Amino acid sequence: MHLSEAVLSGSIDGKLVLVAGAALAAAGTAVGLRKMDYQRLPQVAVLSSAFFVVSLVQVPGPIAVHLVLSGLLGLILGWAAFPAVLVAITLQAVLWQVGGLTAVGINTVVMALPAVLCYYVFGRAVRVPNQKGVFVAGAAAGATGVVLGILLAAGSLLAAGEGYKVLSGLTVLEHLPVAVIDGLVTGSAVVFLRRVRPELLEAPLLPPAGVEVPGA
Amino acid sequence: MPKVGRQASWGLSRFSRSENGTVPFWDGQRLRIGLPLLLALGGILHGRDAFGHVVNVFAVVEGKTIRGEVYFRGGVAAQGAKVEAFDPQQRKLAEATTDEEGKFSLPVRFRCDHRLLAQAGEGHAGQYTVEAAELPDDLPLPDGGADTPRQEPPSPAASPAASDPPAARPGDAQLKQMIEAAVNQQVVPLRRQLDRFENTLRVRDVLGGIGYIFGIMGLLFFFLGRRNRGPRGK
Repeated sequence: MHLSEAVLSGSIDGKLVLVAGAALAAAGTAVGLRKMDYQRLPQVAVLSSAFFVVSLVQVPGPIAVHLVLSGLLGLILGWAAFPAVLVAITLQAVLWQVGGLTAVGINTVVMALPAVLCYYVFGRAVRVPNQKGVFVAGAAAGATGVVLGILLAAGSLLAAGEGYKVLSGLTVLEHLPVAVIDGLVTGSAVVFLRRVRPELLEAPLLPPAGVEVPGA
Repeated sequence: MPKVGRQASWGLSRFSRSENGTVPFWDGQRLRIGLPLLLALGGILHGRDAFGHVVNVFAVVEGKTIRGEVYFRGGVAAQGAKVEAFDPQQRKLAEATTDEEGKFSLPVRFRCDHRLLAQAGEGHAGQYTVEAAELPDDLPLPDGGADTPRQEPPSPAASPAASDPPAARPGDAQLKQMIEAAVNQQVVPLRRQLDRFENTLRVRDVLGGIGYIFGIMGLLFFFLGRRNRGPRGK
């Protein structure tokens, strides 16, 4: 899902995409930092490192693709997903040579914007009081995050005039297994969080099905 | 201070509370949640050296051809990837597509730096530069080659050896070629191994990144904490 600066910096349109991505990422990060309060710093850091590492989870397929977790980031962090993703992507670019430094902006947008959208679309749904509903909402957020991300990436390539790589449609199809697995992981994670740290999702404690929790 | 103490026990109280309750730790519910997480962890460990995103290009010069291979991090060959060669002025010199082993070969027409750009679809790309010094001496300079700082001006040494018969004996060129081929045969596997080694993602790269993230968090805590405490005069 990471776009490479080697591809984008080749043409004028590509450079415009890089600049636009950087501008959008800066704006999103500014909003994220403004909305992020001091108490939530550890959450942002934990999810930032989760995002940083989860790129290593390979999903087998025709080409190598990996988990993204932008849905989970969005649900927990909201706008603070932007700084979290920015930090992780910068480190991936510096330490792992993924994408390249000039592509940090556009890559941040590709993975953080879906997170914020998931927050608005599914944020309420994961606060429902029954476990199935929470899981389904979380899974939908996870899958949506991946699909939106890949559409954004494909759109950026199209805008940069590199459309022939996208038009085959394969790119989007290849990511369907990722969307499914990302959905399962996000759904499970959200259910787990509702059990042990519901305040992360700004929701009440979800008791395990069929168990009465005293005082709940 | 008590507030800080509460912050420090992040999550622990909640865990112990639910464990001391009526719920055993590894009941079916938790297993159902824990299993996908465990699988994800397994994926991390399994995929540690298989970072599919990074496209690597490796190339060597053999006579007047650049031979090379394109592979994903972890050594998986990139099939059908497009490889283009550019000169320092970003003009396209040649183009090739990798075979099923990820190998390609490009003709060399000019003696200048060749920037090889390999695209393996979906914006994934890698590059590698074959420097002018690696290319044979008897190739012409590209037009406008004066812009390339790396090149020495055309001199008798850069002109084809055959045009200078008194200095070169007939067997020299052939001998040089043979030596080059023999050295290549020994050195290329070593260079390939070094290239692979350099491009392997190691645990320390992952842990280093996580460390940075928490370092940044710590710094923010330090500065924000100082700002928050300031007005209270503490």
